[in-house]
Amino acid sequence: MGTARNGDEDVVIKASLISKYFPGVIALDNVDFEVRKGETHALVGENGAGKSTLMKILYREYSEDAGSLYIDGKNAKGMGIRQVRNLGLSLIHQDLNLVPVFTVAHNVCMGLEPVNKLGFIDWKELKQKAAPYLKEISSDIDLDAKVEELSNSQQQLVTVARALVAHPRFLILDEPTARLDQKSTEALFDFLDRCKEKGITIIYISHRLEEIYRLCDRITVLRDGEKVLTAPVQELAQTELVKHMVGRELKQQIPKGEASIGEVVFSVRNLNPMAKAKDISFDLHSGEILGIVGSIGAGKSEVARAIFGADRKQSGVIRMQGEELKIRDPRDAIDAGIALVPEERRKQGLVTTESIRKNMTLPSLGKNFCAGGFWIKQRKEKEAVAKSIKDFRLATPSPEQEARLLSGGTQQKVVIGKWLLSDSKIYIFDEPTKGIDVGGKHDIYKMIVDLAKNGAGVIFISNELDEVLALCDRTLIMFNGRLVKEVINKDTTKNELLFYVMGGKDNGSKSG
Amino acid sequence: MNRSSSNREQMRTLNRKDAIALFLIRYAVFVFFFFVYMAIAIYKPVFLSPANLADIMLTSSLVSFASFGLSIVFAVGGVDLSFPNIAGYGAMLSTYLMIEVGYPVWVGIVAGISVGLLIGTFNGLMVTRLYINSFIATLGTLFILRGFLYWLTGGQSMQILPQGFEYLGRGTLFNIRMPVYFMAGIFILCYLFMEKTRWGRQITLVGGNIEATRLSGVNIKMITLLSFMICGLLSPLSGMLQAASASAAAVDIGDRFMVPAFAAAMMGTVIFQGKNVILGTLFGIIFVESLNNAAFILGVSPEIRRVVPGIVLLATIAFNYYAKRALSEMRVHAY
Ligand SMILES: Nc1ncnc2c1ncn2[C@@H]1O[C@H](COP(=O)(O)OP(=O)(O)OP(=O)(O)O)[C@@H](O)[C@H]1O
Ligand SMILES: [Mg+2]
Repeated sequence: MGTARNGDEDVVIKASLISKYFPGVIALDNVDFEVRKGETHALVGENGAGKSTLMKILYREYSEDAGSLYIDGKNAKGMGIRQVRNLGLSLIHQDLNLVPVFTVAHNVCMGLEPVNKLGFIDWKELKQKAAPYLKEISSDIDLDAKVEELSNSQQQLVTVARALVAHPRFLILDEPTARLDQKSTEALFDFLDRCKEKGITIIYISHRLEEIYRLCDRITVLRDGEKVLTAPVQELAQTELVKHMVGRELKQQIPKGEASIGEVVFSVRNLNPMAKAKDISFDLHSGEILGIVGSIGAGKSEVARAIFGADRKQSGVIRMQGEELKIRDPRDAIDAGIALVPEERRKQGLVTTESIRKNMTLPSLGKNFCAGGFWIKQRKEKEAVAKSIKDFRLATPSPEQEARLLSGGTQQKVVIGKWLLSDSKIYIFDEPTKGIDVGGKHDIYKMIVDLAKNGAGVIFISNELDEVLALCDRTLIMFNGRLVKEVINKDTTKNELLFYVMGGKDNGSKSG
Repeated sequence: MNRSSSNREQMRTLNRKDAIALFLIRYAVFVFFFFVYMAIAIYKPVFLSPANLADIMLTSSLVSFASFGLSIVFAVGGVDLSFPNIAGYGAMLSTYLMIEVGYPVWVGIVAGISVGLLIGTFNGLMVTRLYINSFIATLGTLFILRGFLYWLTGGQSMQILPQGFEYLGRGTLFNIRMPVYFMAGIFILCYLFMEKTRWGRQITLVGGNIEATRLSGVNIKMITLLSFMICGLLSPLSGMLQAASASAAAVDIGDRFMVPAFAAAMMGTVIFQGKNVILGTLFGIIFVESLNNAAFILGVSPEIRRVVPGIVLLATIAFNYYAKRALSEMRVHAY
């Protein structure tokens, strides 16, 4: 029993009957998982299906409650992280676990800092040591920059570079593209292609199925902690794959009826955030879903944050139904009926040490869940949260579960849920579907469409052109901090969007 | 939903066993102190006598106000080092007004609370408006207050207190001293405030992630200020009760309960992993005071008894740490 036996000589990672329990949760239930030498193996499943948990077990961050594990023919049961790293296994976590105040070079070599004779860190050598790893994946990140100064996309690339320090023969990537923009995604794919050529075995987790068809050889589907199947990617049509993942038929179409777009409810004039973006003006109609696209660094989030009062702005006028709003901080914005689903769930969206319930009702606590704005109406609060948990199909044992214990995508759903409870007039979503599973995305699109149907104005910021194209009525394109183009979605194509996102210029003939 | 049911059953029992282990490890502190107290009680049965328990409750109640206030400041992510001197000011001012000026008792008490509130507000403003780290800001307040207090009073203490005031500290109802009722009352108030009201909820959440709560529209400055004000409001009550029950108000009145109040509030914060801090602090107060009492019964000298709160605090933190370690060894990463 157990060892990699005859017939599957080329199986390099073999996990058999793995079970893992958390209090109240069966994260993995007798899961078999086999990866062959040199293949790129996709691991997919809904939020909370157990993907990250299984990977952390391979990496020996968690140990299983039952089952056996062989890596490269060696029994890995008693091993720790250090030993599996020595076997050549590297894991890029779903959460960026970088130290924000340290430099890029330091983060890349974290834990392996070269020291000089006095026992201090040798910064020069550290930088030299980090440079080649970073170059593998990106050419425009400064080794001396502090990680907190980098964009999300760049930070993710730093985690990739860090994984390379161990010279992995087995590389696990847990949703690496969720934070990446178009360009960095391409860079990552090129890098992965090179890895494959070198014979590195890759395990790749993503909710974006097209990536899986582009990259992977075989695929394993997990659902609700159980393995559903393993198959060659090419033998599995996308619709079938989705069915295996969610366990039900799923309409691929975004449920967008004929939008009834009304008056201008919200307008922004000559907005100048403190950094990056310049001179932004646009209108938003009631019932309209307005997309904003642009590569990372184009200044989309800065615009959203300036409108919401999260950052100060240099100048600019914001009007709601014709009336000028004085927004100095998020409180003013929320009072005026504006909601912002922020970009980074763990830093900006959640108090991770608190329960789903307390997080969800936070923005609307005074308005909707308190008697006299003071006494919390526990019953009403519990009912509202229970309903959200159901609507969003949150993978959680209870509304009292601390947010930090949820799977990444489930956390993201909580952040969206908390703002949907706020009854706002204007919703700004900054990359809301990051890390959310196929079914969940569909649910969220539907909720956004419903918001618009009920007369709210929606601003939808995203890097995924496909979803913007399908969901929004109109799209603004930003490049280098400026609004460069506005298109009506039913008259445009993905290629046209891409053209402007990449910095393409009008030559006068194209616009109508 | 196609999981075999026997499998689920097996997992459930496994989890139940886990749950018991989990509970024991998490609350090892309680278990530990339970055995300590049992041992003491066997060795010195008087420890559990009604009179002695009443004594423990009395000393606990004197500390409780300051301790609850402090734990609310901890909850928002700050610290108030000046609370013993706020207590000293409250006690000295109120007794001064009652004895030297001859105002009625309630005026003295209101004045004592007001001055505490004022100092608490000052602390809060330094933290929220001048962005001074609360450790440094309140340490500054501590030094200033202390200097002033000696200057104002010349280091004198007040010995003869009005009857009505003394009754608050020494009177009994159904054989239980008045301060114990006050402790019960303030516990309920603080508990309801922290667990059932919007502001209390927001205090905890600000302490958890200030940026996320700001982006959720919470007035973080007001909330932070509020918690320092509450601490300022509650601390003098400890000072006054201490004075009333000892029939004397001295300048250094707050110093007597500084360490136990601090230890109890710290313990209250860690004992339930930052949740339910008021209940935790109540346990903390009782732990600290009963151990102090036990030391007294065992004949430990007063100098050495001063070490007791520190021991309780370190024991709690150590247990908390080992609980985490033990749980991760069990590979239960939940806590
Ligand atoms: N440390 C933990 N404590 C308690 N429950 C946990 C813990 N880690 C994970 N879980 C639970 O285990 C289940 C599986 O989580 P996991 O993170 O593996 O999901 P995932 O497949 O990676 O999802 P996602 O796509 O959202 O990242 C979830 O229900 C999650 O809430
Ligand atoms: Mg995950």
